[in-house]
Order: sequence, then C-alpha cells, then structure tokens
Amino acid sequence: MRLLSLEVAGFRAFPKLVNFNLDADAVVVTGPNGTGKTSLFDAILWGLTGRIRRFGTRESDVLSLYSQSGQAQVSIGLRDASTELRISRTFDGDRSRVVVDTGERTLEGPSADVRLLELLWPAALITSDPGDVFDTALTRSVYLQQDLVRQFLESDQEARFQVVSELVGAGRLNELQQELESARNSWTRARTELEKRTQAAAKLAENLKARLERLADQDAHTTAQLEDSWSSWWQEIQTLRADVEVPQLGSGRAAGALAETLQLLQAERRSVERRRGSAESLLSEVQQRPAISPDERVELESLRSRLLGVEETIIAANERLAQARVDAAERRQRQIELREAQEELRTLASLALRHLDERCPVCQQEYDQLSTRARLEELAHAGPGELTDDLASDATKALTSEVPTLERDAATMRARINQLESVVKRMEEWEAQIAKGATDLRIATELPEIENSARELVAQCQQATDAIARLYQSGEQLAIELARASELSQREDLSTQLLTAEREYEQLERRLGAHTRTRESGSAILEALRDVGHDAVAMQVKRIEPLVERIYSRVDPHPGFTEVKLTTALYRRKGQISARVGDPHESFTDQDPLPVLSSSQLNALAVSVFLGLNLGVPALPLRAALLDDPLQSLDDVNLLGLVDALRRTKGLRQLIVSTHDPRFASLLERKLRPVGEKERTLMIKFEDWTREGPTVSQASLSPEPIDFRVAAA
Amino acid sequence: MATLSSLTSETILAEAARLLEDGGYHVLRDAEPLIGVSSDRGLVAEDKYGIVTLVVFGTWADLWREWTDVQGALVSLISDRFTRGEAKAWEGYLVLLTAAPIGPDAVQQANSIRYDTHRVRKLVGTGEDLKTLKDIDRVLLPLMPLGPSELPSSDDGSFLATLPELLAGRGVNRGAADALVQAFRSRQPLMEKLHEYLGEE
Repeated sequence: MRLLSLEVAGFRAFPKLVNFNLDADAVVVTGPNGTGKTSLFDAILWGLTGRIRRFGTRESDVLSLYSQSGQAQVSIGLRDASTELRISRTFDGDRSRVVVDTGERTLEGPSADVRLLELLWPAALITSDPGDVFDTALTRSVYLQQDLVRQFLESDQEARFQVVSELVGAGRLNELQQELESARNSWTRARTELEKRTQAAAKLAENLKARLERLADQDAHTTAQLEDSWSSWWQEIQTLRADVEVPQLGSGRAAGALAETLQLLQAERRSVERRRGSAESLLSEVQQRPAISPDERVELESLRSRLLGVEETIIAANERLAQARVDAAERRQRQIELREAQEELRTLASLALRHLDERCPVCQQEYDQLSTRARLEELAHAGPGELTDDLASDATKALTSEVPTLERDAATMRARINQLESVVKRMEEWEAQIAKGATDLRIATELPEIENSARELVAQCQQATDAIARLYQSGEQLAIELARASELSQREDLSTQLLTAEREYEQLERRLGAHTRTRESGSAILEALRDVGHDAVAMQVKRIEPLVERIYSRVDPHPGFTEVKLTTALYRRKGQISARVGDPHESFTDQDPLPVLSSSQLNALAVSVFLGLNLGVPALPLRAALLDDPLQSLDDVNLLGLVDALRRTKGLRQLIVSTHDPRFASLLERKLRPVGEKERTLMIKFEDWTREGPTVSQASLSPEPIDFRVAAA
Repeated sequence: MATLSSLTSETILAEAARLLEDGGYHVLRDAEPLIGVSSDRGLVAEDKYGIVTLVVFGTWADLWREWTDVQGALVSLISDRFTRGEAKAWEGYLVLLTAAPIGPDAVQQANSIRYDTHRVRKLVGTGEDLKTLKDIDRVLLPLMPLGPSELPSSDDGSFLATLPELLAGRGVNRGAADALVQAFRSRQPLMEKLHEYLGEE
C-alpha cells in the first residue's frame, strides 16, 4: 500500500480543511519550523492508528485549539495493485470514530479497525493489543518521527530486540508462547480430569469385580425354574385372601409383591391370634359367671315390699309429729300474747293510780273513785301469767320415740336390698359382656351356646394360625429362592457391566496416554519456543545487518567508523540487540556508537538503521518511508550522502521527507526529482501559519527526460 | 595503519567499471577525450541522475596533486553538456582512488577532499580502504542503486513461516511445528491441532 491523499481538518496545526495530494514516488515537505510539517506526518499516523504515542494517552492533544468544527478529521487515501482504500477518522474531544471504505464495503468502529489491520498489518490481529503493535510497526519502520530519530539507538538492548521482534513478526512468538502455555495448561487440566475418569473407571471395574466375587456362585434356580412353586404358593394365598393379585414371576415387582404378601400373612396371623385370644377370654368369662339363689331373690322381693311399708309408716308418723309440733307452737304463742297484755294493764293501772284525782284526769268527768282505785290496784298488783312448759301430747311423745326405731329398721333392710341388687347387677353386666364378646366374635350369642362356639372358634383359630405359619415359611423360602434367582441374574448383569467398564477403562487409558504424549510434545515445543524467538530475530537481523551497513556506507558519515554491526545475544533468556560501529582498518571493531560518533553522525546512523529496517523486514504496513526532518545540523557531506541514499530508496519505497532547512529542501528537490515519465515527485511547501492554519502550496515536479548526454558522446 | 594493498590500478579500474555497469551506469572507458585522463587510469560513467568521473592514482601524492584538475575536467564536461538550470548539471561525482598506503597527514588531506562538497561530491578511496575487490564496492556504494542482492529476499517470508524450520532446528518434529503454526495462524485450538497431527485421535 502507498499513500494517495490526505485530507485534514481540526487536527493540530490544521484548524481548517487542507487537502494534500500524496500520489507520488517522493513527496518533499518543506517550510520553517512551526508551520505544520510534523502535523502532516502525525495526521497520517493518527489516521491509520488512532493514536500518537508520544502524546501519551492525551488524545485530546490531536484536536486543534482553533478548530472551527470542534472536531479533528483526517481522511487518508491508500492504494496498492488491487485495492484502493479510504480511512476516515474523527475525534470530537470525547469520542473518536473510524470509517474504512474499501470501495466494496464501508465499515465503521471496531470492524473498521479490524479490516484496516487485515489489510495493513494482519500480524497485529493475533496480539493482545493490535493497535499498539500496529503503532510500533509504523513508528519503527515507516514513520521516523522528528523527536525520536535516535530512539532505536538510544534505547536499551532488550527494547531494541523487542522492536525488531515486532517488526519481523517474532513478537507473535510471545503470543504464541502465551497461547500455547495457556492451551497446554488447559490441556493438563483436561488430562487431569481424564486421569480422574480413568482412575474412576479402574475403580468401577474393581468394584464390579469385587461385587461379582461377593455374589457367591451357589446353586440357584433360574426364575423359570421357580414358576411352579411360585404359582402354587400364590394359589394358597388366594385361598386365604382372594383379593390378592398374583404378580408375574419375572416382573420387576415380583419380589416386592412377595414381601408385601408375607407382611400380609404376618398381619393375618396376628389377627387370627387376636381372635383366638378373644375367644379364649370369652371362654374364661363364661366360666366365671356370677350367681344369686332363688331364696335370695324371694328375700329381695320381700325386703323391697317391707321396706316400702316401713317407709310409708315413717312418713305418716313424721307427718303427725309435725302437726303436733305446730299445734304446740300455736298454744305457746297465745300464752305469750296473753302475758304481754296482762303486763300492759298492770303498767297502765300503776300509772293511773299515781294520777287519779276527783275527776278523771283524762276526761274530767266524775267517777267512782273507790271502785276504780280498787280495780286499778288489783290490776297493778296482779302477777304475770305462767307459761305452760309441757305443751306436747302423749301421742306426740310416742311418735317421737317410734320414728327412729322405724328408720333403723328401714336402713337395715336397705343394706340387704343393696347387697342383693349388686349381685343381680353384676350378673346382668356379665351377661351383656358375654353377649358382646360373642357378637364381636360373630358366634352364637345365646348363653348356653356361647361356650361351645367359643371353644370351636379357638380350635379354628389354631388351625388357621398353623396354616398361615406354614404358608409364611414356604413364602420365605420362595423369597430366598427368588433372591438367589435375582442374584444369578445380577451376576450376569454385573459380568456384562464389568466387561463394559474394563473396555471403557482400556479406552480411557489409551486416551490418557495419547493426551500425555501430546502434553509432552506441547511442553517440548514450548521449551523450544523460548529459545527459538532469539533464533528468529537473530536470523532476521543477520539478513538486515548487511543492508544497514551498506546504507550507512552510502551516507558515509564517518571516515573511520564505516562498519555497522547489529548483533543479537541472549542474556538471562532475554534477547538483546546491540548496535555497534567499527573501523575496519583499525582494531576498533566493536564500538558503542554513542561515545564515538557526533550527534550528527549518530543521526545519520539512526536514519540508516531506520531505512535498513524499512527495506529489510519481510513486510511493512505501508510500502513507504516517512522521515520528518530527519537530519538537522548535518555536515554537508553527510547531507549529500543521506540524500543520495534516499534517492536510491525512492524506487523501492514511497518517500515522504520533510525539512525546515532550505538547503536540504533544495537538495531533496533536486535529488528526488522525477527522471522519466514513470516517476513522480511532489513538493509541499508550508510558507506560513496563522490561526486560520498553514499557508500551503503544492506542486508536482515536471519529470525530466532520461538523457545520457555524456555517455552518448 | 598503512598496509600494502594487493590491488593494482588496473584491477581497481576494471572492477569499478564492472560495478558501475552492474549499477546501471553507461561507462565510458576511453575517458581521455572527455576528462584528459588516460583510459588505463580513469573512466566516465553516467546514469539517469548524474555523471561520474573515476580516476585511479598510483600514489597519494599523485592524487593530492591532480584531483583538482580532474574535478575541473569533470565540471567542464558537465558544463559542456548541461546548462546550469538542468538538475543533472549539479549531479557530478568524482571518485578518487589509490591503492597506495597513506600516512596520517594524507588521511587529513583525504578527509578534506571528502568534506569538500564544492561543485561535485567526492568519494575518496585510499590504500587504507582498498585492500580487496570488495572494498571497491564499498567506496562506490553512494553511487549505487539498492540492488536486489542487497535487499533481503522477500520470499524468506514472515517470522511465522520460518518458525517451523527454527523449531525443527531445536529438535521439534517438523510436522508438529507446521501443525502448531498453522493452528496459530488460523486461530484454531493449538493443543487440539497438535493432538490431531500426532494422530492420537
């Protein structure tokens, strides 16, 4: 790919849109410092990669302070024999956006970045940071930045090795190593799992073998051979329990059904035993019948009758006694009232005697004083009436002594009656109990038959218990036979399982062996990769070194140190590249260039190394060499040497070279002039810079005809 | 350190002529009519960019004494053929060679000639530089295009292409290395592809 065009706006020194035609073998960019030359180169770098690493992470630095749109926009046209490409990148101070137009498709965002790398530097796609790798490839082999001309020479030996590793693709080795190491580790984990599975399979086979051995090889009937005894047993069961369903002998529920039925038999046995127990209890009850004699029955009836009479007598006596007591009480009341009246009259008479005069003190009438007084004195001196103590009659007294006697007799009779009635009650209860027991046992409930029925029932229960016990025993035997038949079948199953398990184990063991061999092979490759990275870089450096030296010789910056050597070494398993200069005619063959070369000569060496890498690495992101003011303060002879070297590079790479030095600019214009119709050289002149942007003029140099005027003579 | 060179003026001239012709120059071995130097001592060559005059001297003293004359002859030659406005008029190269050893004083003189960029660029090769035929190539390098022999062959391929061979050199099975690199290129699982190659499954 080579550069065709560049459109830039709002980017660094370009506030406004400027279009550059770059479609030439050589483009010479000239102008005073500070007019935008480096911005042109940076625009190409940023357009391609979206970053300018020397600015660090400050992407906002690409935005022109005077940008009218507030956006940095760069659009780059590229072309090779088969593809024409346009990359447009914008940044609004916050977010950047990239669009890649391949002519057939227009892609945006990450897919655009991926397509860009596919076309320009596919090796970066298999790295963890493709953008960084692409940037390194461009800035170390295509774009020699003004401030970083000597970066390669001045970096340490390991950093130099890393750069060359990236350029020759050996940087992929790190990714390959990391990926392989990660894959090998995953493989190891998978192998460990496989090993566990193999061990588990081995254990399973061992277990199956042990289980097979535990299933003793004893005489056992096959299931088919048990058919007759199975059928007859179940028939017997059905005579006992018609509702039992007969399972198929070979069915999966045969053993379960047999076990359930055995449990049923047990339950049945317990039920029959309980029934027999109840019958036996009933028999025992029958034999303990409570008894009452006929005389006692007569006595009971007589006592009841007599008690009734005595109780009536007591009631009547008590009633009479009560009436007598009422009468006595009334009489006493009347005596009390009479005595109170006599007392009142005596009091009144005494009072009247004290107050009697000729006339009645109350009505003032005359009265018979004597008779009145006598009467009053009689009244006043009359004593109180006597109360009669003995108010009860003789009949009452007789009743009072008769009633207790009668009550004692009644109590005696009641006690006897209770005794006799208790016997009667027990007998009634016994009869009810016997009747209930007989009913529960579902036998005759009439007393005379109960005992016989109970005896018969006991006998029947005993027979049933014996039958159940026999059936249970034969059922158990059948269960054992069935279990043996099952074990026989289980042995056959286990044998099959063991065979399968042993086969699986063998397969797993083979797989484990294969996995182990692959892991060992991966580890061996990984080990070799650790050394081969250096081998690869050393091989590439060996290829590039003569080219660097011949370019350096063309520049011819130093009369003595005309040799350049790039040597590789491994130090603590890390690759190093040292750049050395030597004087082939003296013994100074391996010198560090920094102390022996001047600044100008070091720059010439750095440019030579850059061009050597540019021309020598197997692939480049762009078939171009961009040199931003590469040689400042260079001696004339070195300047000539460099420009001659650049001229010889022109046919191999698209050259874009800038300089602030008018002499160098003139030299470049002349040396890189197009000779012949096929060559094309463009001049871009930055004349001035204002806040509106640079003043730029662009011109295409007229091609000079190929003319061998001297040789023709 | 001065040493005697095995090269003669004749071999130097002949090798220089061959190299220039290989480099795309038209070489005029009979340069005497053009620059006044006999054909056994000098030549004139021209490519599409410039004109070269190459003269071999027997001694440094001869070179030091005569180089300005030769330069004058070259300038005259160019002036005769080209106007000042033509770019090629400024593309003269003067190559001054001697196989004779030189002393320390002469080194300084040689550098003074080399650093004199007046009119034409000078390339100087002395007995210090010219000991073998290959040294002639080195002196003439600034005039030479970057030829295919100098550029690493592009069919050497990428690093990944060379990796299987490098791994094989470290004792890794070549086929396994090929399988691994192919898997890496195509983003396929590395160990699985290696396993496949090893015929394990």
